[in-house]
Amino acid sequence: MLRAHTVKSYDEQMEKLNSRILEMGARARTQLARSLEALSRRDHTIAQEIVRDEPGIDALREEVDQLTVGILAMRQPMAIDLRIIVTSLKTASELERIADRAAGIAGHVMQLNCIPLREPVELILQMAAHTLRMLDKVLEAYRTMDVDDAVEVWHMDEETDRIYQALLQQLQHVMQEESGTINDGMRLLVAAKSYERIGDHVQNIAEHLYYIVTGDTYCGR
Amino acid sequence: MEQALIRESTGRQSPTLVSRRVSRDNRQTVGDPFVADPRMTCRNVNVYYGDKRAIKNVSLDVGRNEVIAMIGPSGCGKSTFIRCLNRMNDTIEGCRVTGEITLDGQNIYDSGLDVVALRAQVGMVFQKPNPFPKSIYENIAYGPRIHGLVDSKAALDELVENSLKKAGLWDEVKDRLHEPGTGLSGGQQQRLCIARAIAVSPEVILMDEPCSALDPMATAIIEDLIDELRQHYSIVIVTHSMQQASRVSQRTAFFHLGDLIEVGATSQVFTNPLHELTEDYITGRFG
Ligand SMILES: Nc1ncnc2c1ncn2[C@@H]1O[C@H](COP(=O)(O)OP(=O)(O)O)[C@@H](O)[C@H]1O
Ligand SMILES: [Mg+2]
Repeated sequence: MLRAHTVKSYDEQMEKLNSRILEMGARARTQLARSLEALSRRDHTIAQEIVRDEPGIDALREEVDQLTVGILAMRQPMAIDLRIIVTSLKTASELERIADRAAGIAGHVMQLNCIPLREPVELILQMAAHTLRMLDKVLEAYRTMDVDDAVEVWHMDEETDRIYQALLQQLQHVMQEESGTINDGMRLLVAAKSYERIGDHVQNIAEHLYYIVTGDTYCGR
Repeated sequence: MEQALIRESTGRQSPTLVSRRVSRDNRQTVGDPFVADPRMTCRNVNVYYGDKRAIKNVSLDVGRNEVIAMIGPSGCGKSTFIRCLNRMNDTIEGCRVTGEITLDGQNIYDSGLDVVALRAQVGMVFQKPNPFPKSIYENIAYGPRIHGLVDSKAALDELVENSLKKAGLWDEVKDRLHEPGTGLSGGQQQRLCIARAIAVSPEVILMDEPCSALDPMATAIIEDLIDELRQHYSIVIVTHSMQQASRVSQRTAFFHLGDLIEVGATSQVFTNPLHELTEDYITGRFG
């Protein structure tokens, strides 16, 4: 297990960086959950909340950048500290994109007409719920530095891809059958693609975590 | 997340995380201490000061054209170890070395071995620059003269010039070769000592904290020089600066209480050490 740094202010800086990443994680998680809610309830206030909270996440991302550069310059970190710091930059960027995607999804969802496409919407809800579970799990793994959970999350993304493929087929089928569904179908397609990408971002975070703990790259085995 | 790693009580421990690094109790060397075509080999080397064992069963190779850094907390035996490589420990009362050390395949502790010649082949530069209280020229010329390496004044002049050039000092001193070496700046004096070692055609140069008395600029010049010298010599450098070790060396050896704990490619040791003690030390977690 890691001991404390001899220089206490170094630990304080690292702890601050960690807390900002976790805070970003919590906020990205809220945005993702809201996108799911917007999809199931199509409530305009949710979409407004998402838009309202985006700048806060971007600001945290900038703070992470600054903290990182500060620590690099002050401490010349090595080994696990270096791995934590370098991946913090990347993880913050993944989280920011997850939040961006969630906002984009909400935007599209609010413009849907009233749902003749019940089955595809079911599948999208499944995807959304699945990526949310992935995000929860990776954030918990990040908190505890649990590399086994990181590996599990990594493989959870296979399910995201599976649902996505099923959804594509279904949408294609529906849109071919009924030309009136093309508008909504396209919007659902964009939303589905976003969830698929969110799954990838979560998977990347799992890889970063794996690298922090082991110093190695995880690529499926 | 730092804290998460430390706090064993909160959250579930990852077995993978625990098993990844060799635990602090393990005193065996991890990593590969051997190289394909070694210049020097050390096998099961122990060093005693009286009853106290300061180096414990260390095996390690020094490669050709490499800089190998020795790091570790003060008192862990770095200086003691490198002094074995040119039998400088012979000069210390009560110091005893066991095990086998070879240079180009020959055991340097063989009874018939010429120690003076050995110390030319394995030169040494110390923490505090220690030029002789003589002229710059004489500092360099002394060694080649007593080793009989030159047979004319012209040849000696040339050797002095070449040595000073290799040590990156020529341009700064060529117009005052007959002024005292002690009149140079600290960084220049250290390069003079390096030139002095170079003048007797060494194969290996040992450097014990060569920059610890120098300012950052003089340090950078020496580090740049070390990188150039690697083309001709093997260099073993003791340093307490992790940054210096990572900047100048290709391999790094970490010592702790007389044990060689870890050896590996410098890039690996500083990004992904295998042993918890190495990780503690290079990340600034001192006990
Ligand atoms: N001349 C000596 N006589 C007795 N003990 C010594 C002598 N030189 C070093 N030691 C002891 O050997 C151990 C290793 O010392 P040293 O090689 O100087 O460590 P380092 O160079 O890593 O700081 C220390 O415990 C030190 O006190
Ligand atoms: Mg020493």
